[in-house]
Amino acid sequence: MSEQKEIDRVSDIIVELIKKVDHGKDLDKTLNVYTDARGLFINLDKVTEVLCHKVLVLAVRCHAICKGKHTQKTQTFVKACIAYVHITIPTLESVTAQVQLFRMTAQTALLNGLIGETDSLLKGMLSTLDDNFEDTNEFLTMTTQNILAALGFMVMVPENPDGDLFQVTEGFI
Amino acid sequence: MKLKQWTTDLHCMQRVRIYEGVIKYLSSQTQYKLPYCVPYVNGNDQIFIGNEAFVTKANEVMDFCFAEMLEFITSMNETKGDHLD
Repeated sequence: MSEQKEIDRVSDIIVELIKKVDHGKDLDKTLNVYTDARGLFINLDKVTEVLCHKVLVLAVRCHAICKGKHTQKTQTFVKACIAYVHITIPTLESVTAQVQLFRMTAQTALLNGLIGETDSLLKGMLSTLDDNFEDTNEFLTMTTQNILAALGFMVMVPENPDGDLFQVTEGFI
Repeated sequence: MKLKQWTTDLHCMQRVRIYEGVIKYLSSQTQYKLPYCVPYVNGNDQIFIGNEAFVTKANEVMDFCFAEMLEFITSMNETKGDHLD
């Protein structure tokens, strides 16, 4: 078996185990498990990606539990989830995965009323695309699709009245 | 974004699609009521209601996008001969 196949096989097993982790309404405990898992399997991209998705699911579950009206405690938890994903994304190798996760995290942040985080995640997505620019059809098609999806999402994102207006939009063009 | 580096025909098409998307986004922002919103999050329709600077800036960016699209169409017309048998 080739090395890559072996990595994929091990990653798949770990992913299956991670998917089984559930501490019910004790979301903090689940997040702690995911934090430990990230430290252990940081070199397995497939596992890291699944961990990011699972943490975003935790943030959405928290939103559902408090029915959109956050208390100090739930707000802090959701911020921790978003911060977890935000700092984990750059460790991934695939640019496409990074960009999609940035967009998904921005959506989750806005859902939980974290406007500042939403803005910085969108800027993160933009700088990832800019830093890894490739003159290939595949990359440009991926970029266009992600920018169009981000624009559709940005309809709901409020601008900062004290800062520059349409900063992210101008970044796209 | 380095949209200026996108040079071939396909790249130009993608560029135009992005400009088109930006125009659609900005025209939604200049409406009195946004087409959709997130519960408990104020949208730009509530924050910038009656703000002239906001509308002016949106129009400026839209004008830029229209100008770029027009430039692309003009250059396409100039190179039309290269694509004809």
